[in-house]
Amino acid sequence: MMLEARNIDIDYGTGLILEEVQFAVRAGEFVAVIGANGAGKTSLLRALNGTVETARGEVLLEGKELGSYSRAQISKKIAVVAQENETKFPMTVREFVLAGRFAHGGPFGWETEDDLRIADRCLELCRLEGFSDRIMNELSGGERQRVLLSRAFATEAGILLLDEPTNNLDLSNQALILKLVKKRCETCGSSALVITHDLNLAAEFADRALMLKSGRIVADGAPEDVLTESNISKVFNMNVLRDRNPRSGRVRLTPLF
Amino acid sequence: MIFDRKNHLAAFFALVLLLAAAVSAGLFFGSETISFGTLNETQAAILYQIRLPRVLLGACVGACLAVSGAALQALLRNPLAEPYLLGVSNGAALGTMLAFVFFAAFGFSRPLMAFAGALLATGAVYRIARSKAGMSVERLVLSGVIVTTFLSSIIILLTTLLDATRLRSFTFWLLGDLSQATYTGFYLTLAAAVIGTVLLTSQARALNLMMVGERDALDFGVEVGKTRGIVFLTASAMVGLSVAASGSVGFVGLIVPHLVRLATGSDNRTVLPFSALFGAAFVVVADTAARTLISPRELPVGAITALIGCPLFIFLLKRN
Repeated sequence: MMLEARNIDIDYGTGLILEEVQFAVRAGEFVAVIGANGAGKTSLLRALNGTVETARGEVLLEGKELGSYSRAQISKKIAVVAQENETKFPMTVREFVLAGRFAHGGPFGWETEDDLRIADRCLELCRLEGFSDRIMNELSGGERQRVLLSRAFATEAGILLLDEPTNNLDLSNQALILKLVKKRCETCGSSALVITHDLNLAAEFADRALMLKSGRIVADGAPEDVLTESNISKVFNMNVLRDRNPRSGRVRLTPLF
Repeated sequence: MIFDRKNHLAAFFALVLLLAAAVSAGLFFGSETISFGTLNETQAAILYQIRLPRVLLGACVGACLAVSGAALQALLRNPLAEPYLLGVSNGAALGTMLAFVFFAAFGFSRPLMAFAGALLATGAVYRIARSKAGMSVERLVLSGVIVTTFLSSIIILLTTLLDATRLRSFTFWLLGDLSQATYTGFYLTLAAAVIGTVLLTSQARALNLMMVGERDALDFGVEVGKTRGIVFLTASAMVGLSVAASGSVGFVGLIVPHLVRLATGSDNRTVLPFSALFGAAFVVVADTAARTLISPRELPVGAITALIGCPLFIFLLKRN
Protein backbone atom coordinates (compact mmCIF):
# COMPACT_ATOMS: atom_id res chain seq x y z
CA MET A 1 0.00 0.00 0.00
CA MET A 2 1.48 3.32 -0.97
CA LEU A 3 -1.08 5.51 0.70
CA GLU A 4 -3.79 4.51 3.08
CA ALA A 5 -6.55 6.40 4.88
CA ARG A 6 -7.78 4.70 8.04
CA ASN A 7 -11.12 5.93 9.28
CA ILE A 8 -10.32 9.59 8.87
CA ASP A 9 -12.60 12.41 9.98
CA ILE A 10 -12.06 16.06 9.18
CA ASP A 11 -13.71 18.78 11.20
CA TYR A 12 -13.18 22.48 10.49
CA GLY A 13 -15.29 23.31 13.55
CA THR A 14 -18.55 23.46 11.62
CA GLY A 15 -19.43 19.78 11.59
CA LEU A 16 -17.71 16.84 9.96
CA ILE A 17 -16.41 17.48 6.45
CA LEU A 18 -15.16 13.94 6.10
CA GLU A 19 -16.47 10.96 8.04
CA GLU A 20 -14.87 7.56 8.51
CA VAL A 21 -13.15 7.58 5.15
CA GLN A 22 -11.18 4.44 4.57
CA PHE A 23 -9.36 3.30 1.46
CA ALA A 24 -5.90 2.48 0.16
CA VAL A 25 -4.11 3.34 -3.06
CA ARG A 26 -1.85 0.75 -4.68
CA ALA A 27 1.19 1.41 -6.83
CA GLY A 28 0.36 2.23 -10.45
CA GLU A 29 -3.30 2.84 -9.71
CA PHE A 30 -5.24 5.72 -11.30
CA VAL A 31 -8.10 6.58 -8.95
CA ALA A 32 -10.84 9.04 -9.89
CA VAL A 33 -12.50 10.85 -6.99
CA ILE A 34 -16.08 11.78 -7.79
CA GLY A 35 -18.72 13.68 -5.88
CA ALA A 36 -20.86 16.79 -5.78
CA ASN A 37 -19.42 20.19 -4.88
CA GLY A 38 -18.79 20.31 -1.16
CA ALA A 39 -18.71 16.54 -0.76
CA GLY A 40 -15.24 16.77 0.81
CA LYS A 41 -13.08 15.77 -2.16
CA THR A 42 -10.52 18.54 -1.81
CA SER A 43 -10.40 18.11 1.97
CA LEU A 44 -9.70 14.42 1.45
CA LEU A 45 -6.81 15.23 -0.88
CA ARG A 46 -5.46 17.75 1.63
CA ALA A 47 -5.66 15.22 4.45
CA LEU A 48 -3.76 12.70 2.36
CA ASN A 49 -0.67 14.89 2.17
CA GLY A 50 -1.09 16.24 5.68
CA THR A 51 -1.87 19.85 4.81
CA VAL A 52 -5.22 19.58 6.58
CA GLU A 53 -5.45 18.00 10.00
CA THR A 54 -7.58 14.98 10.59
CA ALA A 55 -9.80 15.00 13.63
CA ARG A 56 -9.72 11.23 13.90
CA GLY A 57 -8.10 8.32 12.16
CA GLU A 58 -4.73 8.22 10.47
CA VAL A 59 -3.09 8.44 7.09
CA LEU A 60 -0.34 5.94 6.36
CA LEU A 61 2.33 6.69 3.80
CA GLU A 62 4.24 3.54 2.86
CA GLY A 63 3.00 1.98 6.07
CA LYS A 64 4.15 4.77 8.39
CA GLU A 65 2.01 7.47 9.92
CA LEU A 66 2.07 10.70 7.93
CA GLY A 67 2.88 12.69 11.07
CA SER A 68 6.23 10.94 11.39
CA TYR A 69 7.46 12.54 8.14
CA SER A 70 8.71 16.09 7.72
CA ARG A 71 7.06 18.31 5.09
CA ALA A 72 10.09 17.87 2.85
CA GLN A 73 9.99 14.08 3.18
CA ILE A 74 6.28 14.02 2.36
CA SER A 75 6.73 16.21 -0.69
CA LYS A 76 9.37 13.86 -2.06
CA LYS A 77 6.75 11.10 -2.01
CA ILE A 78 3.50 12.96 -2.70
CA ALA A 79 3.13 15.66 -5.34
CA VAL A 80 0.09 17.89 -5.69
CA VAL A 81 -1.56 19.70 -8.56
CA ALA A 82 -3.86 22.03 -6.68
CA GLN A 83 -6.56 24.20 -8.12
CA GLU A 84 -5.40 27.35 -9.84
CA ASN A 85 -3.00 29.62 -7.98
CA GLU A 86 -2.21 33.06 -9.28
CA THR A 87 1.39 34.19 -9.37
CA LYS A 88 1.62 37.77 -8.20
CA PHE A 89 5.29 38.22 -8.99
CA PRO A 90 6.58 37.68 -12.52
CA MET A 91 8.09 34.21 -12.61
CA THR A 92 9.45 32.14 -15.46
CA VAL A 93 8.13 28.68 -16.24
CA ARG A 94 11.46 27.11 -15.32
CA GLU A 95 11.60 28.91 -11.96
CA PHE A 96 8.08 27.67 -11.27
CA VAL A 97 8.81 24.06 -12.18
CA LEU A 98 11.99 24.06 -10.11
CA ALA A 99 9.82 24.54 -7.02
CA GLY A 100 9.21 20.83 -7.48
CA ARG A 101 12.88 20.31 -6.60
CA PHE A 102 12.68 22.29 -3.36
CA ALA A 103 12.69 19.29 -1.03
CA HIS A 104 15.74 17.86 -2.79
CA GLY A 105 18.05 20.79 -2.00
CA GLY A 106 19.42 22.58 1.07
CA PRO A 107 18.29 25.99 2.26
CA PHE A 108 21.08 27.93 0.54
CA GLY A 109 22.44 27.50 -2.91
CA TRP A 110 21.19 26.93 -6.38
CA GLU A 111 19.63 24.00 -8.11
CA THR A 112 22.07 21.38 -9.31
CA GLU A 113 22.56 20.37 -12.93
CA ASP A 114 20.45 17.35 -12.06
CA ASP A 115 17.56 19.51 -10.89
CA LEU A 116 17.71 21.56 -14.09
CA ARG A 117 17.80 18.46 -16.25
CA ILE A 118 14.83 16.92 -14.45
CA ALA A 119 12.83 20.15 -14.74
CA ASP A 120 13.55 20.41 -18.46
CA ARG A 121 12.66 16.76 -19.02
CA CYS A 122 9.35 17.17 -17.19
CA LEU A 123 8.53 20.24 -19.29
CA GLU A 124 9.29 18.24 -22.41
CA LEU A 125 7.14 15.38 -21.17
CA CYS A 126 4.24 17.81 -20.83
CA ARG A 127 4.88 19.14 -24.35
CA LEU A 128 6.27 22.44 -23.18
CA GLU A 129 9.60 22.49 -25.02
CA GLY A 130 10.81 26.04 -25.44
CA PHE A 131 8.60 27.38 -22.65
CA SER A 132 11.32 27.62 -19.97
CA ASP A 133 11.79 31.35 -20.16
CA ARG A 134 8.16 32.28 -20.68
CA ILE A 135 6.46 34.25 -17.90
CA MET A 136 3.83 32.29 -15.96
CA ASN A 137 1.16 34.98 -16.12
CA GLU A 138 1.32 35.07 -19.91
CA LEU A 139 0.42 31.42 -20.46
CA SER A 140 -2.94 30.08 -21.60
CA GLY A 141 -5.00 27.99 -19.21
CA GLY A 142 -3.95 24.74 -20.84
CA GLU A 143 -0.27 25.63 -20.85
CA ARG A 144 -0.45 26.75 -17.25
CA GLN A 145 -2.04 23.52 -16.14
CA ARG A 146 0.64 21.55 -17.93
CA VAL A 147 3.28 23.61 -16.11
CA LEU A 148 1.62 22.68 -12.80
CA LEU A 149 1.75 19.05 -13.86
CA SER A 150 5.43 19.39 -14.85
CA ARG A 151 6.17 20.78 -11.40
CA ALA A 152 4.44 17.80 -9.79
CA PHE A 153 6.40 15.40 -12.03
CA ALA A 154 9.63 17.22 -11.17
CA THR A 155 9.32 16.12 -7.54
CA GLU A 156 9.72 12.53 -8.77
CA ALA A 157 7.12 11.58 -6.18
CA GLY A 158 5.42 8.23 -6.57
CA ILE A 159 2.00 9.54 -5.59
CA LEU A 160 0.18 12.29 -7.47
CA LEU A 161 -2.82 14.13 -6.03
CA LEU A 162 -4.65 16.20 -8.62
CA ASP A 163 -7.51 18.52 -7.77
CA GLU A 164 -9.72 19.02 -10.81
CA PRO A 165 -6.78 19.17 -13.20
CA THR A 166 -9.03 19.35 -16.27
CA ASN A 167 -11.15 22.24 -15.00
CA ASN A 168 -11.62 25.04 -17.55
CA LEU A 169 -9.50 23.29 -20.15
CA ASP A 170 -10.38 22.67 -23.78
CA LEU A 171 -11.06 19.15 -25.01
CA SER A 172 -7.57 18.38 -26.22
CA ASN A 173 -5.88 19.76 -23.10
CA GLN A 174 -8.22 17.74 -20.86
CA ALA A 175 -7.24 14.59 -22.73
CA LEU A 176 -3.57 15.51 -22.77
CA ILE A 177 -3.39 16.11 -19.01
CA LEU A 178 -5.05 12.82 -18.15
CA LYS A 179 -3.03 10.90 -20.74
CA LEU A 180 0.17 12.27 -19.22
CA VAL A 181 -0.94 11.23 -15.73
CA LYS A 182 -2.02 7.81 -16.98
CA LYS A 183 1.30 7.31 -18.72
CA ARG A 184 3.12 8.25 -15.54
CA CYS A 185 1.17 5.57 -13.68
CA GLU A 186 1.92 2.96 -16.31
CA THR A 187 5.60 3.71 -16.92
CA CYS A 188 6.79 4.78 -13.46
CA GLY A 189 4.40 2.81 -11.29
CA SER A 190 3.12 6.07 -9.82
CA SER A 191 -0.33 6.22 -8.28
CA ALA A 192 -2.67 9.08 -9.01
CA LEU A 193 -5.71 10.34 -7.18
CA VAL A 194 -7.63 12.64 -9.49
CA ILE A 195 -10.64 14.70 -8.52
CA THR A 196 -12.87 15.27 -11.51
CA HIS A 197 -16.40 16.33 -12.31
CA ASP A 198 -16.22 14.79 -15.75
CA LEU A 199 -17.64 11.31 -15.25
CA ASN A 200 -16.80 10.22 -18.78
CA LEU A 201 -13.15 11.15 -18.38
CA ALA A 202 -13.17 9.18 -15.13
CA ALA A 203 -14.68 6.20 -16.92
CA GLU A 204 -12.12 6.37 -19.71
CA PHE A 205 -8.96 6.86 -17.69
CA ALA A 206 -9.45 5.55 -14.17
CA ASP A 207 -8.68 2.06 -12.93
CA ARG A 208 -10.86 2.73 -9.97
CA ALA A 209 -13.43 5.29 -8.90
CA LEU A 210 -14.15 6.61 -5.43
CA MET A 211 -17.51 8.24 -4.93
CA LEU A 212 -18.05 10.68 -2.08
CA LYS A 213 -21.31 12.00 -0.71
CA SER A 214 -21.44 14.42 2.23
CA GLY A 215 -18.03 13.34 3.45
CA ARG A 216 -18.58 9.62 3.21
CA ILE A 217 -17.46 7.12 0.62
CA VAL A 218 -20.60 5.70 -0.98
CA ALA A 219 -18.95 3.62 -3.68
CA ASP A 220 -15.43 2.36 -4.33
CA GLY A 221 -14.45 0.06 -7.14
CA ALA A 222 -14.00 -0.30 -10.89
CA PRO A 223 -15.47 2.71 -12.74
CA GLU A 224 -18.16 0.64 -14.37
CA ASP A 225 -19.33 -0.68 -11.01
CA VAL A 226 -19.30 2.75 -9.41
CA LEU A 227 -20.76 4.81 -12.24
CA THR A 228 -24.21 3.26 -12.18
CA GLU A 229 -27.47 5.11 -12.80
CA SER A 230 -28.56 4.61 -9.21
CA ASN A 231 -25.26 5.82 -7.68
CA ILE A 232 -25.26 8.90 -9.87
CA SER A 233 -28.83 9.74 -9.10
CA LYS A 234 -28.04 9.30 -5.39
CA VAL A 235 -24.98 11.57 -5.46
CA PHE A 236 -25.87 14.16 -8.08
CA ASN A 237 -29.67 14.03 -8.13
CA MET A 238 -29.52 13.60 -11.89
CA ASN A 239 -30.71 10.91 -14.20
CA VAL A 240 -28.25 9.66 -16.78
CA LEU A 241 -28.36 7.44 -19.80
CA ARG A 242 -25.70 4.77 -19.44
CA ASP A 243 -24.21 3.00 -22.41
CA ARG A 244 -20.73 2.18 -23.66
CA ASN A 245 -18.30 4.09 -25.79
CA PRO A 246 -18.26 1.96 -28.95
CA ARG A 247 -14.55 2.56 -29.48
CA SER A 248 -13.09 2.06 -26.01
CA GLY A 249 -15.81 -0.15 -24.58
CA ARG A 250 -15.79 2.01 -21.45
CA VAL A 251 -18.93 3.19 -19.67
CA ARG A 252 -20.44 6.33 -21.19
CA LEU A 253 -22.88 8.59 -19.39
CA THR A 254 -25.21 11.16 -20.90
CA PRO A 255 -27.14 13.39 -18.52
CA LEU A 256 -30.89 13.57 -19.07
CA PHE A 257 -32.30 17.02 -18.47
CA MET B 1 17.38 34.66 -14.71
CA ILE B 2 18.59 32.24 -12.10
CA PHE B 3 20.75 30.36 -14.55
CA ASP B 4 23.07 33.08 -15.54
CA ARG B 5 25.35 32.95 -12.56
CA LYS B 6 28.10 34.94 -14.21
CA ASN B 7 25.62 37.76 -14.67
CA HIS B 8 24.73 37.53 -11.02
CA LEU B 9 28.31 37.86 -9.96
CA ALA B 10 28.68 40.86 -12.27
CA ALA B 11 25.51 42.42 -10.87
CA PHE B 12 26.77 41.80 -7.34
CA PHE B 13 30.06 43.59 -8.00
CA ALA B 14 28.29 46.40 -9.83
CA LEU B 15 26.13 46.93 -6.75
CA VAL B 16 29.15 46.86 -4.44
CA LEU B 17 30.78 49.51 -6.64
CA LEU B 18 27.59 51.55 -6.63
CA LEU B 19 27.49 51.39 -2.84
CA ALA B 20 31.17 52.41 -2.61
CA ALA B 21 30.51 55.34 -4.95
CA ALA B 22 27.46 56.39 -2.94
CA VAL B 23 29.43 56.23 0.32
CA SER B 24 32.31 58.30 -1.11
CA ALA B 25 29.90 60.86 -2.47
CA GLY B 26 28.19 60.98 0.92
CA LEU B 27 31.51 61.60 2.63
CA PHE B 28 32.71 64.36 0.31
CA PHE B 29 29.51 66.29 -0.32
CA GLY B 30 27.71 68.31 2.30
CA SER B 31 27.42 71.83 3.59
CA GLU B 32 31.21 71.66 3.95
CA THR B 33 32.75 70.09 0.85
CA ILE B 34 35.74 67.92 1.69
CA SER B 35 38.46 66.93 -0.74
CA PHE B 36 41.31 64.47 -0.30
CA GLY B 37 44.65 65.46 1.17
CA THR B 38 43.73 68.90 2.44
CA LEU B 39 41.99 68.04 5.69
CA ASN B 40 42.28 70.69 8.38
CA GLU B 41 41.22 69.93 11.92
CA THR B 42 37.60 71.04 11.52
CA GLN B 43 37.22 69.09 8.31
CA ALA B 44 38.69 65.97 9.91
CA ALA B 45 36.24 66.32 12.78
CA ILE B 46 33.34 66.75 10.39
CA LEU B 47 34.46 63.77 8.34
CA TYR B 48 35.16 61.30 11.16
CA GLN B 49 32.78 62.42 13.90
CA ILE B 50 29.74 63.45 11.89
CA ARG B 51 29.75 62.39 8.29
CA LEU B 52 31.31 58.93 8.45
CA PRO B 53 28.96 57.51 11.12
CA ARG B 54 26.02 59.14 9.38
CA VAL B 55 26.84 57.70 5.95
CA LEU B 56 27.60 54.26 7.37
CA LEU B 57 24.43 54.27 9.45
CA GLY B 58 22.43 55.34 6.41
CA ALA B 59 23.83 52.41 4.43
CA CYS B 60 22.91 49.91 7.18
CA VAL B 61 19.42 51.36 7.64
CA GLY B 62 18.85 51.20 3.89
CA ALA B 63 19.97 47.58 3.77
CA CYS B 64 17.76 46.61 6.73
CA LEU B 65 14.63 48.30 5.39
CA ALA B 66 15.06 47.06 1.82
CA VAL B 67 15.73 43.43 2.75
CA SER B 68 12.92 43.20 5.27
CA GLY B 69 10.55 44.79 2.75
CA ALA B 70 11.57 42.28 0.08
CA ALA B 71 11.14 39.34 2.45
CA LEU B 72 7.76 40.51 3.74
CA GLN B 73 6.50 41.03 0.19
CA ALA B 74 7.40 37.47 -0.72
CA LEU B 75 6.02 36.06 2.53
CA LEU B 76 2.72 37.92 2.22
CA ARG B 77 2.46 37.48 -1.55
CA ASN B 78 1.75 41.16 -1.64
CA PRO B 79 3.96 43.32 -3.86
CA LEU B 80 2.81 46.39 -1.94
CA ALA B 81 3.69 45.04 1.52
CA GLU B 82 6.36 46.64 3.58
CA PRO B 83 7.31 47.03 7.26
CA TYR B 84 4.90 49.94 7.63
CA LEU B 85 1.94 47.98 6.35
CA LEU B 86 2.39 45.40 9.08
CA GLY B 87 2.79 47.97 11.83
CA VAL B 88 6.38 46.86 12.45
CA SER B 89 7.74 50.36 11.92
CA ASN B 90 5.10 51.99 14.06
CA GLY B 91 5.69 49.48 16.83
CA ALA B 92 9.37 50.34 16.71
CA ALA B 93 8.59 54.06 16.63
CA LEU B 94 6.36 53.78 19.67
CA GLY B 95 9.02 51.78 21.51
CA THR B 96 11.64 54.37 20.68
CA MET B 97 9.33 57.15 21.75
CA LEU B 98 8.64 55.52 25.12
CA ALA B 99 12.39 55.21 25.63
CA PHE B 100 12.83 58.81 24.52
CA VAL B 101 10.21 60.11 26.97
CA PHE B 102 10.91 57.91 29.98
CA PHE B 103 14.51 56.66 29.80
CA ALA B 104 16.22 59.42 27.82
CA ALA B 105 19.43 58.98 29.81
CA PHE B 106 19.98 55.31 29.02
CA GLY B 107 21.67 54.95 25.63
CA PHE B 108 20.71 51.40 24.81
CA SER B 109 17.05 51.84 25.73
CA ARG B 110 16.13 53.22 22.31
CA PRO B 111 17.17 50.25 20.18
CA LEU B 112 15.99 47.79 22.83
CA MET B 113 12.56 49.36 23.16
CA ALA B 114 12.29 49.74 19.38
CA PHE B 115 13.06 46.05 18.88
CA ALA B 116 10.54 45.17 21.59
CA GLY B 117 7.96 47.47 20.00
CA ALA B 118 8.50 45.99 16.54
CA LEU B 119 8.24 42.46 17.92
CA LEU B 120 5.10 43.24 19.90
CA ALA B 121 3.48 44.90 16.89
CA THR B 122 4.36 41.92 14.68
CA GLY B 123 3.12 39.54 17.35
CA ALA B 124 -0.13 41.46 17.73
CA VAL B 125 -0.72 41.52 13.99
CA TYR B 126 0.04 37.81 13.82
CA ARG B 127 -2.34 36.96 16.69
CA ILE B 128 -5.16 39.10 15.31
CA ALA B 129 -4.72 37.71 11.82
CA ARG B 130 -4.63 34.06 12.82
CA SER B 131 -7.89 32.17 12.81
CA LYS B 132 -8.86 28.52 13.01
CA ALA B 133 -8.74 28.10 9.27
CA GLY B 134 -5.20 29.47 9.13
CA MET B 135 -4.02 32.93 8.22
CA SER B 136 -5.09 34.48 4.96
CA VAL B 137 -3.05 37.20 3.33
CA GLU B 138 -6.01 39.59 3.38
CA ARG B 139 -6.63 39.11 7.10
CA LEU B 140 -2.97 39.72 7.84
CA VAL B 141 -2.78 42.90 5.83
CA LEU B 142 -5.98 44.22 7.41
CA SER B 143 -4.68 43.46 10.89
CA GLY B 144 -1.52 45.33 9.99
CA VAL B 145 -3.50 48.38 9.01
CA ILE B 146 -5.49 48.28 12.26
CA VAL B 147 -2.42 47.87 14.45
CA THR B 148 -0.62 50.65 12.58
CA THR B 149 -3.54 53.01 13.09
CA PHE B 150 -3.80 52.11 16.76
CA LEU B 151 -0.07 52.66 17.34
CA SER B 152 -0.16 55.96 15.44
CA SER B 153 -2.83 57.31 17.74
CA ILE B 154 -0.81 56.34 20.83
CA ILE B 155 2.22 58.10 19.33
CA ILE B 156 0.13 61.22 18.74
CA LEU B 157 -1.16 61.05 22.32
CA LEU B 158 2.38 60.72 23.66
CA THR B 159 3.63 63.73 21.71
CA THR B 160 1.46 65.90 23.97
CA LEU B 161 3.88 64.98 26.77
CA LEU B 162 6.82 66.54 24.90
CA ASP B 163 7.93 70.13 25.25
CA ALA B 164 8.26 72.28 22.12
CA THR B 165 11.97 71.62 21.40
CA ARG B 166 11.72 67.90 21.89
CA LEU B 167 8.51 67.81 19.87
CA ARG B 168 10.28 69.37 16.91
CA SER B 169 13.20 66.97 16.98
CA PHE B 170 10.80 64.07 17.49
CA THR B 171 8.66 65.08 14.51
CA PHE B 172 11.81 65.29 12.42
CA TRP B 173 12.86 61.85 13.63
CA LEU B 174 9.42 60.36 12.91
CA LEU B 175 9.89 61.30 9.25
CA GLY B 176 13.25 59.58 9.13
CA ASP B 177 16.34 61.47 10.17
CA LEU B 178 19.98 60.36 10.14
CA SER B 179 21.44 63.50 11.73
CA GLN B 180 21.66 61.89 15.20
CA ALA B 181 23.97 59.14 13.90
CA THR B 182 26.44 57.64 16.37
CA TYR B 183 28.98 54.86 16.02
CA THR B 184 27.01 52.80 18.57
CA GLY B 185 23.90 53.08 16.41
CA PHE B 186 25.97 52.16 13.38
CA TYR B 187 27.46 49.02 14.96
CA LEU B 188 24.04 47.80 16.11
CA THR B 189 22.42 48.44 12.74
CA LEU B 190 25.39 46.91 10.92
CA ALA B 191 24.99 43.72 12.96
CA ALA B 192 21.26 43.70 12.20
CA ALA B 193 21.90 44.29 8.49
CA VAL B 194 24.51 41.55 8.11
CA ILE B 195 22.94 38.88 10.32
CA GLY B 196 19.44 39.72 9.11
CA THR B 197 20.35 39.54 5.44
CA VAL B 198 22.03 36.16 5.93
CA LEU B 199 19.07 34.80 7.93
CA LEU B 200 16.48 36.02 5.44
CA THR B 201 18.52 34.79 2.49
CA SER B 202 18.61 31.37 4.16
CA GLN B 203 14.82 31.37 3.67
CA ALA B 204 15.03 32.54 0.05
CA ARG B 205 14.22 29.18 -1.53
CA ALA B 206 11.28 28.71 0.82
CA LEU B 207 10.10 32.26 0.08
CA ASN B 208 10.27 31.53 -3.65
CA LEU B 209 7.61 28.88 -3.07
CA MET B 210 5.61 30.97 -0.62
CA MET B 211 5.35 33.74 -3.23
CA VAL B 212 3.10 31.38 -5.15
CA GLY B 213 0.98 30.40 -2.16
CA GLU B 214 1.19 29.01 1.37
CA ARG B 215 -0.70 25.85 0.48
CA ASP B 216 1.54 25.36 -2.51
CA ALA B 217 4.62 25.85 -0.39
CA LEU B 218 3.39 23.29 2.15
CA ASP B 219 2.68 20.84 -0.66
CA PHE B 220 6.20 21.14 -1.97
CA GLY B 221 7.99 20.71 1.32
CA VAL B 222 8.31 24.15 2.96
CA GLU B 223 7.90 24.31 6.74
CA VAL B 224 5.68 27.34 6.30
CA GLY B 225 5.30 28.17 10.00
CA LYS B 226 9.04 28.09 10.57
CA THR B 227 9.80 30.29 7.57
CA ARG B 228 7.09 32.75 8.60
CA GLY B 229 8.48 32.90 12.15
CA ILE B 230 12.05 33.48 10.99
CA VAL B 231 11.01 36.21 8.56
CA PHE B 232 8.80 38.01 11.10
CA LEU B 233 11.42 37.89 13.87
CA THR B 234 14.31 38.92 11.64
CA ALA B 235 12.37 41.69 9.91
CA SER B 236 11.20 43.00 13.30
CA ALA B 237 14.75 43.16 14.59
CA MET B 238 16.05 44.83 11.43
CA VAL B 239 13.24 47.37 11.29
CA GLY B 240 13.36 47.95 15.06
CA LEU B 241 17.06 48.76 15.13
CA SER B 242 16.76 50.93 12.01
CA VAL B 243 13.87 52.93 13.39
CA ALA B 244 15.64 53.39 16.74
CA ALA B 245 18.67 54.82 14.97
CA SER B 246 17.03 56.91 12.29
CA GLY B 247 13.25 57.02 12.60
CA SER B 248 10.83 55.85 9.96
CA VAL B 249 12.53 56.21 6.60
CA GLY B 250 9.70 55.35 4.26
CA PHE B 251 9.46 53.77 0.82
CA VAL B 252 12.85 52.09 0.91
CA GLY B 253 11.31 48.68 1.60
CA LEU B 254 8.89 49.15 -1.24
CA ILE B 255 10.89 50.77 -4.02
CA VAL B 256 14.24 49.01 -3.73
CA PRO B 257 13.00 45.41 -3.99
CA HIS B 258 10.77 46.36 -6.93
CA LEU B 259 13.63 47.89 -8.85
CA VAL B 260 15.80 44.87 -8.08
CA ARG B 261 13.03 42.51 -9.26
CA LEU B 262 12.63 44.51 -12.46
CA ALA B 263 16.33 44.11 -13.16
CA THR B 264 16.99 40.53 -12.07
CA GLY B 265 13.66 38.70 -11.80
CA SER B 266 11.78 37.51 -8.72
CA ASP B 267 14.15 34.84 -7.38
CA ASN B 268 14.62 35.74 -3.72
CA ARG B 269 18.11 34.28 -3.67
CA THR B 270 19.16 37.31 -5.70
CA VAL B 271 16.41 39.75 -4.71
CA LEU B 272 17.28 39.64 -0.99
CA PRO B 273 21.07 40.22 -1.07
CA PHE B 274 20.83 42.63 -4.01
CA SER B 275 18.13 44.61 -2.18
CA ALA B 276 20.49 44.94 0.79
CA LEU B 277 23.24 46.45 -1.34
CA PHE B 278 20.97 48.63 -3.44
CA GLY B 279 18.94 49.76 -0.41
CA ALA B 280 22.16 50.80 1.33
CA ALA B 281 23.27 52.88 -1.67
CA PHE B 282 19.77 54.32 -2.10
CA VAL B 283 19.54 55.68 1.45
CA VAL B 284 23.10 57.05 1.39
CA VAL B 285 22.35 58.97 -1.81
CA ALA B 286 18.99 60.15 -0.46
CA ASP B 287 20.60 61.36 2.76
CA THR B 288 23.35 63.15 0.87
CA ALA B 289 20.62 64.93 -1.07
CA ALA B 290 18.79 65.69 2.19
CA ARG B 291 21.95 67.35 3.55
CA THR B 292 22.89 69.32 0.45
CA LEU B 293 19.69 70.36 -1.33
CA ILE B 294 18.85 73.32 0.93
CA SER B 295 22.20 73.46 2.73
CA PRO B 296 23.10 74.66 5.31
CA ARG B 297 19.64 73.56 6.44
CA GLU B 298 18.58 69.91 6.29
CA LEU B 299 15.60 67.86 5.23
CA PRO B 300 14.62 64.60 6.92
CA VAL B 301 15.90 61.77 4.73
CA GLY B 302 12.45 60.17 4.86
CA ALA B 303 11.05 63.14 2.96
CA ILE B 304 13.62 62.62 0.22
CA THR B 305 13.03 58.88 -0.08
CA ALA B 306 9.30 59.55 -0.30
CA LEU B 307 9.89 62.27 -2.91
CA ILE B 308 11.94 59.85 -5.03
CA GLY B 309 9.83 56.85 -4.15
CA CYS B 310 6.29 58.07 -4.78
CA PRO B 311 6.60 59.10 -8.44
CA LEU B 312 8.71 56.04 -9.21
CA PHE B 313 6.12 53.86 -7.57
CA ILE B 314 3.25 55.44 -9.52
CA PHE B 315 5.28 54.99 -12.69
CA LEU B 316 5.82 51.29 -11.91
CA LEU B 317 2.17 50.82 -11.09
CA LYS B 318 1.07 52.49 -14.35
CA ARG B 319 3.58 50.59 -16.44
CA ASN B 320 2.15 47.27 -15.35
